[in-house]
Amino acid sequence: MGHNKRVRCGMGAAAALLVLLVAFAVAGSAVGARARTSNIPLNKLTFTFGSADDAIGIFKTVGDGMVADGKQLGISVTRFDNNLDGPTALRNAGLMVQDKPTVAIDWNTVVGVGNAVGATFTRAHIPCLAVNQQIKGCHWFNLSNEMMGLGAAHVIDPIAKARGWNGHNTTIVMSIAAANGREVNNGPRYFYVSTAKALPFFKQVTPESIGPETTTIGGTNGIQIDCKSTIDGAYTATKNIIPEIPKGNNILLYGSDDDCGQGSYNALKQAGFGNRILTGGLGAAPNGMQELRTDPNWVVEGALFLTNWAPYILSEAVAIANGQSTPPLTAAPQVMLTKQNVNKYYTGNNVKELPPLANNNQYLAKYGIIQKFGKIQGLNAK
Amino acid sequence: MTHPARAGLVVPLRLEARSLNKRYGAQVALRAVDFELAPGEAVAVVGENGAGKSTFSKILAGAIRPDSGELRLDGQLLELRSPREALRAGISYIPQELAYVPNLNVADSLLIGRWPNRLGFTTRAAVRKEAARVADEFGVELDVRRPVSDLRLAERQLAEILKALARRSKVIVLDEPTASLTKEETLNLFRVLRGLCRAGVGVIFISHRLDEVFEIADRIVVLRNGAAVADVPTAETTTAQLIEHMLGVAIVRAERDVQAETAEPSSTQLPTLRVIGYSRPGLPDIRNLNFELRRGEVLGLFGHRGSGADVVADGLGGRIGDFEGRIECGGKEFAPFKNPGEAKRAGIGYVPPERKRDGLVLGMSIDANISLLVLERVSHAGVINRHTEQRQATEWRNRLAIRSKSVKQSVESLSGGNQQKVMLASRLEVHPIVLVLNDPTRGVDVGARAEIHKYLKEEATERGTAVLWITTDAEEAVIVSDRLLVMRDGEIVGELRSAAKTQANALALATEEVASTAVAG
Amino acid sequence: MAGTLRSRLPSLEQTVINGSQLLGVGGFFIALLIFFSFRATHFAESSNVLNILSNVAVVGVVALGQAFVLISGGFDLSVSGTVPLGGIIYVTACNDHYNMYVAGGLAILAGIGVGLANGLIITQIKINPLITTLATLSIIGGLAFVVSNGITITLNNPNQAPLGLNFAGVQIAVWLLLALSIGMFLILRYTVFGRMLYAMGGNREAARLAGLRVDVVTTTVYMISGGLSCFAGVMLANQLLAGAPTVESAANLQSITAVIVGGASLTGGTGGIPGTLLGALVLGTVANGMTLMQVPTFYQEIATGAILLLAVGLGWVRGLVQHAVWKHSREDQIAQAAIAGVVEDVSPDLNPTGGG
Repeated sequence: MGHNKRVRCGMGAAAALLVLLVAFAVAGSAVGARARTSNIPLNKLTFTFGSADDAIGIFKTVGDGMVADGKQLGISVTRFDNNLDGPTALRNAGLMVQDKPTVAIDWNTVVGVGNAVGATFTRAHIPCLAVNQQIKGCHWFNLSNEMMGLGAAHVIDPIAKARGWNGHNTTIVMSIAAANGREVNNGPRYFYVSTAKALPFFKQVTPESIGPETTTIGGTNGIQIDCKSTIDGAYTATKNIIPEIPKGNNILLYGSDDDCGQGSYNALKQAGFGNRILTGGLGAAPNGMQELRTDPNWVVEGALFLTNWAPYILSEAVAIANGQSTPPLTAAPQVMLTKQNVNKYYTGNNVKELPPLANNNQYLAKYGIIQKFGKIQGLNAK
Repeated sequence: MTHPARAGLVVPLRLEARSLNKRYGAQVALRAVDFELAPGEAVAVVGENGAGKSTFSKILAGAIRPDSGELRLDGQLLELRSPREALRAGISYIPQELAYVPNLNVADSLLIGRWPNRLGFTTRAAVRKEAARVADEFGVELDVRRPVSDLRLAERQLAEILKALARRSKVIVLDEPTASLTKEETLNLFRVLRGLCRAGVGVIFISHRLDEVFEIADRIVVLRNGAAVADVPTAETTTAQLIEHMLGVAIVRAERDVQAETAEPSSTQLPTLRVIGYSRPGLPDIRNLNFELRRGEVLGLFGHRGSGADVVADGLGGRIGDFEGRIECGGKEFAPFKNPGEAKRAGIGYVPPERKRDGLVLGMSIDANISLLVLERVSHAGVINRHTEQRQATEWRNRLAIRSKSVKQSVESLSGGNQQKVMLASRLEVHPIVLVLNDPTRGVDVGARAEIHKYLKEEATERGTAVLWITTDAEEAVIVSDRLLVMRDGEIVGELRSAAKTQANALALATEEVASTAVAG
Repeated sequence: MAGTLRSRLPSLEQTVINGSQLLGVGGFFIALLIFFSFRATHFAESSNVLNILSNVAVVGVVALGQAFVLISGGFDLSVSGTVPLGGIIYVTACNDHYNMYVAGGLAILAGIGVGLANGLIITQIKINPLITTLATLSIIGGLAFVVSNGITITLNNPNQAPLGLNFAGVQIAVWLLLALSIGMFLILRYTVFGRMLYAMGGNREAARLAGLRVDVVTTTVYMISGGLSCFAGVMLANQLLAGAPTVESAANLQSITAVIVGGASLTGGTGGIPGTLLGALVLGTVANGMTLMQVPTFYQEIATGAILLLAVGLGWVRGLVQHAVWKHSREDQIAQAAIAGVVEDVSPDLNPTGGG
């Protein structure tokens, strides 16, 4: 064919390149695994941090904090972006181990690839710390979404009960991010379970029975929508199911985060349920805080102090670097904010004070890091 | 400087040629030809192949220069050294084989090259607007934004005319413009041409189709052997007279079904190909064709475009799949072919008319194109044997005298005649029982044409292939065929053999006018 | 002489024209390698090279199938759906205690089925490939979601993921890419089937009139593309130890980019496997290098788009070079070509009946 020469030319070049790369790789991989070092001085520590998604504000602040706070401490933190995507997280894990950090810290949101990601670290003998979503073979730092859901129910249910809301005149709406796994959606899940127990005439179910594919519980007792982790996703999905809610019903609403909650809340308000909703938020995002402060319907806000996670995470990583054994789950700071106590913890949208350390994160105080960056009840702030 | 036919009306001539002479070595192509064209006049130039029509139009188009004689446009002497100068002077030539740049749209193709001051337009939008306006003005219904490659032939022609108008041409020369048009498209073209004439543009119309010439032309000029032998107003002549002028001989009256005495006794051998009751509604309606073809015979099928001859070829080649009737080929019976594969398997080798569009893969090499129909033969267990393929192509290269640097060259870079030979080789390589050729020498230079004729004749006489040769060229039809069928409007209107197989008779049968009895001459 | 009026390109110029695109991309690739070795930490290390290779393996396999489709004149956008489908089928089957070869076979069969559907719709119902594969993409993508309930399914038994392991230091998936590439290269270059693809892509009608079974071949290439994409999904599942419906949503764009960077044209008839691999390598290297330079992800998407434009641009330059080699000015060319049919009649030394 007329393209012979060119094909041969190109094939030669590309084949040579490919063979070169492969040969290089095969030769290079014969080098053995790195030796593990364990250094106490902070400036001898190097961490890698895989961010959940740097395009989303709340996640970005954690990454920013890791790098900035780390720098202040003298710890070098190399940053990667997992982009909420499994294969990307896996690739980043591969790149992280290349850096040979003291500890690899990774926030991978795609549950399913946890095994592969963890295996990457394990194979390279690099200790790892999983943030939020568990990774097999790694230490774990996370908030408890379950506690959020229970805490929200704890605040909201008495108010509802006093108003005479029950399973015959009320629907519980759960706004969840189906693709993000079970743990992330424990908030709405436990909210339903707890509320169904506290108020009469609700169909009661076990938390295990509520899954991402659940759409209704007990007819119109519970309705679950997939917010797709965005405000507009929540809005659209909620708008679509509003016809299924009896027009005169009251609404108890809880979302897996403030975006999901807000989007669903807006849709329900627009549809005319505005004076019959009780809701709360999860995440203490600016919109959630605003609603908590100004909207009579929004009575609780689960604060997880995401913006302050960095020092906690860094502390745990330092602990790991020093060979300290850690509890299966190290808890992130969290508290249920109400209209009454919000100003204790927040000035405006800025964190004033952090809740006291609990049993499973007490050990973090040892390294003096979290105290440096925030005022924690029960600890001396610097 | 005035035109004799317009008695009483003194009008300066748009185009005037005086005593044009052109010879090639010993041959004379044009012999002291005078020609006149008034503004707004439509003049047809007719004549058989070899009469000098193309030489004449080439001179007008600026492609060649006459040995002597002069050319004037609106009184100004013209010395055309190149086609560009002709265009610039205001003479537009619209060829039979339309050239176009495939991906441009109609409006943009107006800007091709460096026209003098880009027609005065600076932006594409302006060009488009002007193109649309011109189209409107002359009643040309064409969406100027469409890419040229999307257009059908008739539309491309109109686009070419638009180009000519946009250049403010004074004379438009059209070469066999209706050859590939439907009746409707032809009428539309004539309507546009009349509009041009009304606007003062001079139209020169070269054609074989005498019936159409009568419809559109004001005057008819007949060339024969390089000389202008007649120049008459259309109203004052007839087809028969024109044919007489064209051929210079008296014609014997040809009856509808001319049977000539056959020199050879009818063969007892079974025909290689029999077509029975072949019909298909369409443009034109093909009604109940019956004919047969013997081993080693070259059967010509002649008809003007629109007669259905090419449709019959397409049907036999399996390209058009909705014919009715029966086909017997090589002793076996078949229903009309639904696809090219069926025809091929039945033993029919079909050579399509538009080689670049349908017969060749331009991006592939010569040998790859030649082996395209016989891939099983140049391969073993699915793997192509390149040596065999190359050898095969080299053999054909020698046999058909294909001029190329190597058989690995891409077909795109060959000249038209050589491309045609490659396509032919690919079809012949199948060793078909019946070879159906659809206009096989179209757009091919005379040298290559002769070579192709010679080879195909050999193919028939020496190898026994039955050849069905469809053509719109009466001269070729008569030269190559042993027997000649003439088609018109979807029917076979006559079969010509031996002495009756003449251009005159073929033309007469094909153009609906029966030649008149002539006095011996 | 007749022939000189239409330019005949000497073969050296033709090679240069054809090679200019591939050389351009190859040169670009080398420039990339040099750039990243300086600006990105660890880029030139062997472990990183292995990373790039194993990252490229999945899209590379998809691109191989896409190459066949593009060369034959089609488009397969549905690969973004068949890749996750393959992974999900594989993981689901393995978790249901199927043998992993059976699971892999099921996934590949599913891909072939999708390809069959694509092929039949395109050839029998005659909807164009762009629209057809876009439609099947939506259906298959949705199917993947339904089967997996929208979540990523973990592979329960990590021993059923051999393709993610290394052999001679290189991931098995990469070896498979290499093996498949060699096989497909041979098919394309040396077999009747490969020749038919180029013929169909170059001029489908001419191929049809030559008696080639264009419909059968078309359906076959889509089946090949579907099967390969599902297999790529299996490879990915082996790497991820999970099957996810949301992965590789850009697989169609990336595979098409790789094939075009490698010299194919959108209309078909050109292209090849070495170029495709080069294209995939370029994409993978850019993603890797940018990550190592800690450039935000959305810039990487911009880069992918830019590379596609670059490839198309090089193709355009090639066209320009081709036209530049034609010596006549455009006008004269057209005018001359226009009357070529007439002019070619003029051969002073032939045909005694004279010119035209």
